[in-house]
Order: sequence, then C-alpha cells, then structure tokens
Amino acid sequence: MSPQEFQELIAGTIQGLEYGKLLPEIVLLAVILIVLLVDVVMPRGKSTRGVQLVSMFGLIGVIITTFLTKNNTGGAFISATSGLPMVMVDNFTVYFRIVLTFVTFLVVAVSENYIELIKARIAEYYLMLLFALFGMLLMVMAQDLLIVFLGIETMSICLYALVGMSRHKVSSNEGAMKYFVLGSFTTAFMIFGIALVYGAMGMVEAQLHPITGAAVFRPSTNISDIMMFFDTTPTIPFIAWAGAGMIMIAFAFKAALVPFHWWSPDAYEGAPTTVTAFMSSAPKAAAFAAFIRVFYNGFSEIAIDWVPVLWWIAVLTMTFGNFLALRQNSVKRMLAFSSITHAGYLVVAFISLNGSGIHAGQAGVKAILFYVLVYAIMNIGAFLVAIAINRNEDDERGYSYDDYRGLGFRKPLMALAMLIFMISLAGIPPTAGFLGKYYIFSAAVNAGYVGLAVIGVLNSAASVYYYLRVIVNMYLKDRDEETEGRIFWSSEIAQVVFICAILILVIGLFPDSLMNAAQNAVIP
Amino acid sequence: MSLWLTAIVFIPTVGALLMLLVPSGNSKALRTTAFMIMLVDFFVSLPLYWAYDPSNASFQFVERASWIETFNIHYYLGLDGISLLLVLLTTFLGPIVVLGSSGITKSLKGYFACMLLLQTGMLGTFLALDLFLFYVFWEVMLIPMYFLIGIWGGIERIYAAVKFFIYTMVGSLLMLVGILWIYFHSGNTFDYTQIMAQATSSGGLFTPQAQLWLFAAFALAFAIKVPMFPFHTWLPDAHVQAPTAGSVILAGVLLKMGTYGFIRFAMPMFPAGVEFFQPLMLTLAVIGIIYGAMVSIVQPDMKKLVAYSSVSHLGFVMLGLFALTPQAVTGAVIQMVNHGLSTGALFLLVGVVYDRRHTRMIKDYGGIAKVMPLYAAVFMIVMLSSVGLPGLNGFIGEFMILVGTYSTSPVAAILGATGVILAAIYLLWMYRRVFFGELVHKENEGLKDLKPAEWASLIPLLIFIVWIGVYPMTFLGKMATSINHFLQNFDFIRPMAGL
Repeated sequence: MSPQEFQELIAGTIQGLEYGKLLPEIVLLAVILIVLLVDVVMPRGKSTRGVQLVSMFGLIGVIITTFLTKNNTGGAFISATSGLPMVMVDNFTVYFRIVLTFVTFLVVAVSENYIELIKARIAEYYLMLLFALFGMLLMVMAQDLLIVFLGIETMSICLYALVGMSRHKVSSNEGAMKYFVLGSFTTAFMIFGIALVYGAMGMVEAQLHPITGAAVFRPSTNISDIMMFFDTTPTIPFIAWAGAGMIMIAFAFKAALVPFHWWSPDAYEGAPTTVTAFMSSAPKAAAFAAFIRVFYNGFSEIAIDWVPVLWWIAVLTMTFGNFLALRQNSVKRMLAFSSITHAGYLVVAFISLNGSGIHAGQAGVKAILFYVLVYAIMNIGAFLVAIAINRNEDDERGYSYDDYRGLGFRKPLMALAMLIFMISLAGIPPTAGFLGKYYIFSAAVNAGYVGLAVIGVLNSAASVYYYLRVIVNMYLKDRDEETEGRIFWSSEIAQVVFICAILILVIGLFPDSLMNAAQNAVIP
Repeated sequence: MSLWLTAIVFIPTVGALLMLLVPSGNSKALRTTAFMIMLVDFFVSLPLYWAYDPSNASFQFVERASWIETFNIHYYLGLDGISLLLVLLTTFLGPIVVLGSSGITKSLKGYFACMLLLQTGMLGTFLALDLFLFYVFWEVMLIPMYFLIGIWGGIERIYAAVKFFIYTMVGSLLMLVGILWIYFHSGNTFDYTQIMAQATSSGGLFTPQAQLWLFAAFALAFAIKVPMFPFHTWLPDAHVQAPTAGSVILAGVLLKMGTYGFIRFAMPMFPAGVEFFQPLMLTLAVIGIIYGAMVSIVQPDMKKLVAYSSVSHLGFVMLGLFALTPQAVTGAVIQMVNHGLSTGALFLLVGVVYDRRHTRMIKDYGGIAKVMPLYAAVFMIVMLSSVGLPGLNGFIGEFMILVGTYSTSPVAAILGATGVILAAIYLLWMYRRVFFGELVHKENEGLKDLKPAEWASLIPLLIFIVWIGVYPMTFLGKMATSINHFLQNFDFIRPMAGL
C-alpha cells in the first residue's frame, strides 16, 4: 500500500464516521458521564435530585439535537473498504429516537420519590436507564447485525440490573437472575444465528453474477450485503434459513413473544414498577424496530417463509397473554401480562409486512410505528397510576384490584385518567389505543390476513374484561374503608399522568399529524 | 353547509361539560340544568320534522368534512326518513328520562353527565354516514351506558354491566373487521353513499360469497344489540339492574340502534346476504316473538316481564324488516318508535311504584287500583298500547308487519300473530294481579298517586301513543320515500313460495 493510499484510507475512515449524524447519541453519552460525575462529586444524600435533573435535561437535549439534525440523514460509520454504513440515520431512526427518548424521559421524570421508596442506588438507576436508551438507539439505527447485537446487549445488561434494583426484595433478585440466565441463553442464539448467516454467505461465495460475471457479494454481517445475497443467490443454503430463524427467536425473546416469554412474569413482577413500565414499552419498541430493519430489509427474500411461524407466534402471544392477564389479582401483573398481548398485536402488523395488498409492507410498518408510541403512553400512564395507588411496595397484597375500590369518588381526576388509559388499552374509541388497534388490524386485512385480524379482535374483546375490572373497582364498587390505603399521588406523577391522558385523547381525536410522522418514517 | 345536525348531536356533550360547573351538592340545580339541556336539544331537533322533504330519497341536511385524512375518514352526517323519526324519538325521550330520574340521589353530576354523553352517542349513531364515524359513535355510547347500569343500578349491577359491555364489544369488533374489509374493497372509502353507489351498480361491489360473510359480521353486531334470540340474554339482566331512566333509554333508543343498523347498513349493503339469511332471520324473529312472550308470562318481577316483552316486540320489528314488503318494513320502522314510546312508558310506570315501595315483585302488590286510580288508568292505556289494541300505536305497527309478512311467508305471519295473543295474556294477567283484587299488603294502603313530575314525563308519551294509533300518517308520510328506496335493493328477491 502506497503512502498515498494509506493516507486516503485513513482519511476516508475518519470521514466515514459521520459524527454529525450521531449528535443525539453523543449528547446522550455526555449526559451519562455527567451523571456519573454528579454522583461522585455531590454528597450522597443531596445527589438524588441533582442526578434526576441532569438526566431529564440531558434527555431534553437529546430530543432537541434530534430535531436539529433531523434533516442530516444518511449512513454513518461508513466502512472505507466496502462503502457500506454500520448505522443508518433515516426518518425511521429519527422517529424512534424521539419515541424512545420521550418514554425514557417520562420514566425518569417520575422516579425520584419512588426510587427512594424502594431503597435503590440512585445514580445507578438513572445511569442504567440512560445506558439502556443508548443501546436501544443503536438497535433502531443498526445496519449491521453486529451493531444490532451490540445494541441488544447494551440494553439487556442494563435491564438485568434494573430488574434487580430493589435489592432488598427477594422477588426482584429472583426476577433479575432468571432474566439474566435466560437472556444470556438468547444471546447465544443471536450470535449463532449471525454466524450461520455469515457462514452461508461464505459457502456460496464462488457464485458469480449471471450477467456481469462479477462476484456480487462477500461474506458480511451488513444488512445490505445480506439482502443482496438473498436476492441474487438462486439456491439459498439451509443454514441461512436456520440462521434467520435463530435471530428471529432472539428477537422474540427480547419482545417477550410466546413461547419465548417465560422470563417475563418473574422479571415484570420483581422489577421496581417504574422499571416494569419502562421494560414493557421501550425495549419492545426497540426490538420491533430492529426486527423490521433486519427482516424487512436484510431477510426480505426469505421472510415470507417464516410467516407461518410468525402467524402462530402472533396468535399464541395474543391469546396466551390474555389468559395470563385474566388470571391475575394484581394490577401490576395484569398490566405486565397484557403487554404480552399487545406485543402480539404488533406481530400481527409485522406479518402484514409480507402481505399481498397495495403497499402492504408500508401499512404494517406504519401501524407498528404508530402503535409503539401510543402503547408506550397509555401503558406508562396506567403503571404510574398503579404506583400511586400501591399501598406498600413490600406488601404481598400490593397492587390488588381492591385498592381501586371507590377511587372514582375518592380521587375523581386520577380515576378519570385511569379510565382513559383502560379504555384506550382495551381499544375503545375515542382514544388513541383504538386507532392504534384499528391501524394494525387494517394493515392485516389489507395484507389479506383476515383470519388473523378476526383472532386479533376477539382477543381484544377478551382483554376488555380485565381492563373493565379496574373500572369496575374504581366506579362500580363501593368504598371499602378497611382495604383503603394511602395514595402516593405526588405532583411529579400527577403531571406525567395527565400529560399521558391528554395525549391519548388528543391523538385519539386528531391522529393525522402522528400518522403523517409515522408515514414519513417508513423505510423506503 | 349548515351545522344543524352537528348541533343536535353535540349539544348534550357541551351540556355534559356545563354540568361540571354546577356545584355537586345542589341536586335541584343539577336536575334543572340536565333537563334544560335535553329540552333545548329537543327543540333544536324538532323543526327537522317540517324541514325534511319527504319526496326526496337522498340524505338531507348533509354535513361533510375531512376528519382523519390518512384513512380518508370523514365527519359525515345526514338524515333520511328512517333516521328522522329515530332522532326525534331520541331527543324526545331525553327530557323525559331526566324527569324519570327522581329516584337517583348518588353522585347526580356524574349521572347526568353520563346520560348526556349517551345522548350524543345515540344521536351520532343514527346520523353518521361514514362507516368509521358510525363505529366510533356506536362504541362511544357503550361507556356511559355501562356506567349508568353499573353505578346507579340494582344489586347485581356489576354483573349486568360487564355482561352488557362484553356482549356488545364482541359483536362490534367483528363488525370492525367487516368495515375494514369494505374499506379495502371499495377503493379506500368509508363513505356510505359512495359504497352504496358502488354496491348497487351493475356487477355490485362485493361477490355474493363475500356478502354472506360481511352480512354475518354486521348482523352479529346488530343482532346482539336488538337483541335477537339467541343473543338476548344480556338484555333482561341489563334492564332489571339498570335504574328506571337507564331502562327507558335502553328500551327506547339503544335497542333501536340494532334494528337501525340492519335497515341502514347490513341489509342494503349486502342484498345477497339478506337473500341467503332471510329464512334464518325470519325464523329467529318468530322464535324471539314467541319465546320472549312465553318467558314474560312466568316472570314474577314486573321489570323483567317488560324486559322480556321487549325481546318479543323487537322480534316483530325484525320480522317486518326481513319480510321485505312495503307494509312490513314501514310497520317495522313505526314499531321501532312505538316500542320506544310504550315500553319506555311501561318502565317509567314500573319505576313509579318501585320508587315508593322498592320492590318490583308482582306478588307484593294487588288491588292498588284502589289507592292509585289515576296511575292505574295511565298504566292501562300504556299496557293496551303494548298489547296492540286498535286505536293505540302498537296496533298500527304490528298490524302492518303481519299484513306485510303474510305475502312473504304466511307461516311466519301466523306464528308471529300468536305473539299478539301471548302479549295480551302476560300483560293483562300482570295488570290484574297488580291492580285488581283485594289490597292484601298493608304497606300499599298509603301509596300516593302520580306526582306532577311523573305526570310531566308520562303525558307526552301518552299523547304520542294515541296520536300514532289514530292518525299514523303524520309519521308514516315522512318515511315512505326512504323505505321505497331501501326496498329497491331487494327487487331481485322473489317471495318465498311454500313458507
């Protein structure tokens, strides 16, 4: 290599980094470092509020830089040799940056008192949330399976720790341990799947393009390369299919899809409730985003072969999640399990990506984009009300439905907000949740999966029962002075709950701007 | 474009917000406000009767604006001869149910807010011409009704409310899938007039096979609401547990949403489905008539008796709709109104004694005609209207339905006619046991006769009960063109020979 070539390679590598496109992530990393510093510099007792404020302002900074750089799209970390980017900043990424950062912001904003209540380590808690966000941002922009892997692991390791944040609670430790062991197992699936795909590309490397005679691809983990490989290879080796399946299993695990959901009951139950709210919305959204990147782009040629499997996963996830949620006597567990059902609806939209209708794929992606945001808002709102009403974190009967008795007359506004979340989760107009479900099932019908849509709406009808149960207790049952507990209705929780409730109604009545945003964010 | 219909639909919503300003402790102010809002809504809607042009078959007072552009969803309201009467019935019953709520004392503010929101939902359902908008109103009305039954209802209210909610939900969600299917097969539109234009053009919009499925999906939602046998089991529970005013709305308007759904959406959009399902629907209607009446006979509870009689009366409406002859369909539409008036009045009357004695059991009464003579007289008129005595409204509807059905299916008409006889049995027998004979219970000796507020709620109903019975053309004249237009969809269906 001549000195000049050497210099060009170095210069190209540096230019290919495209730091400017990653400004929001850089801001986020800076915030994480500041949080660490604040915790070290300020005395233990006083750092609580400081750490939270730094995190909140930092997240606002991430959102602002996202808006500032939203037109600066394109690939980043571009390989100087292949010219392909490792991460892609497009409207899809921008949309998820905003959604995920917003969700994290909501969780951070309400955590102050709650974290003291459960005696968790304060700086670590915020740090883990922010790092998890960083991992999720990597996932949604990944153009390379290794970046996907890196993002998933960064996110997961933070989540393992977050689940175990209530150090003094056995269930918290148990949930974290199970989640960690099963999660590590899934990591192996992911890695093995990537290796198999990579290997498959190596097996057929000798094949040449039928017309030009040039070698059309090289073994690579880059999603564009993989797409090219599947597009141009006449007989796709079996191990490529197997690899795609294993990667799919890893995603299914991260999104808690049946039958890969077994970690979720213990993890959701044991985790501090703010973490449960976070886990059941943001990481699922990120997992689906990465899933779309990998399957809709990389494996698009063979994705159709996996539809029957996904069909069953969707049906089982919706139905089984409902069964689990129906049986619960704790509102926290009910919300956690019903999040499995909601992930099932997302799979329905995901399957619709492969449908036959006009722009079927786009409709499916749009539905997912719309639903993840709406679901995050209503889900977090509902969890926050649950936190406010919970009598005592250590009480076995915490989060019981009975605690809600007569709430409609004790705390009318709070109950009204919960009512809005419940009817939205149940998918009843005029709420955003209804439009979200409508979006998903319309994508399914458009793509020709009418049967799946019917199973979906029947599940939706069944879910009405357990959401109604909360409403029954709030309004229909009389107050019971004995079971009545204290209400932990701090102003920070109240503010976020009302913001969520108003957003649900506004999106429910005037969804056009959000729908347009989702439309623009679809990967072309 | 006028905003007349929008005003009618949303005056109650604005009113519900106004209710929040009234202090919760002042029950008199709350009642007056609610009453005035309902009355204003009625008087705003009343001129529709004269403004409506009965010679024009297309929708009138149409309002159309884009709502959700992404899905080509419009805010689209319109009125024809069929919805005209139902809208007027709804706004007419509004003030009456507020007067009928004198027994309610628990959180009045929420109660009237629910009632007003319910009014918006029901009026919107009758006026919406965009399938999506229709669905939204259809579902929106569920929640206030759920609360009316669940918060202000009787002892088993929670069970009844949840059952009501889930039943309706299951049916309507399948309809949603049907609506989506239509959307994607009609060039991405929810617009009722556009869909109908395509459906009636040569070749039609949907294949006959698809029409069967779509009809089934829509019919399930509507049949649950009507309710048709065998989907009726939620109704007695809901009726018995609901407060009086809730029962009046339920019987008077809510059930009509089901039959209205058939005549507006399920039947004209899928004529092939109607052709295929006609025998089944006629059979279920007849079973409903007879079964509802038979169960009514043995009820010990007056309210439950009236509730089951609704199953029977709505069976007549369904019989008339699916007979598909001009008289039968006209009879069915007027019977919707009749049932709203007569059964609404019956529930109010049962509420009158319930407020005084807190029991609805027939055996707890007997001989009360002696202490409440005027009440007995009013009850007699309303009961006879429900039985179908010539000269009162019930007769007009049932007579026209049966005459019209005879040419389609004599068997169904003859079996249906037994329902009239059974109605006489269960209502007259109940009347005898409650009002005549000795005053066996001491508690009944001090019963007061009708109070002014009760008169105020009953007299308007009585006027229309007699009016429709004596001179129905006032009402029939308005809907003739629309019904004729409706029947043109089914010209290809021949009378069912041999049935």
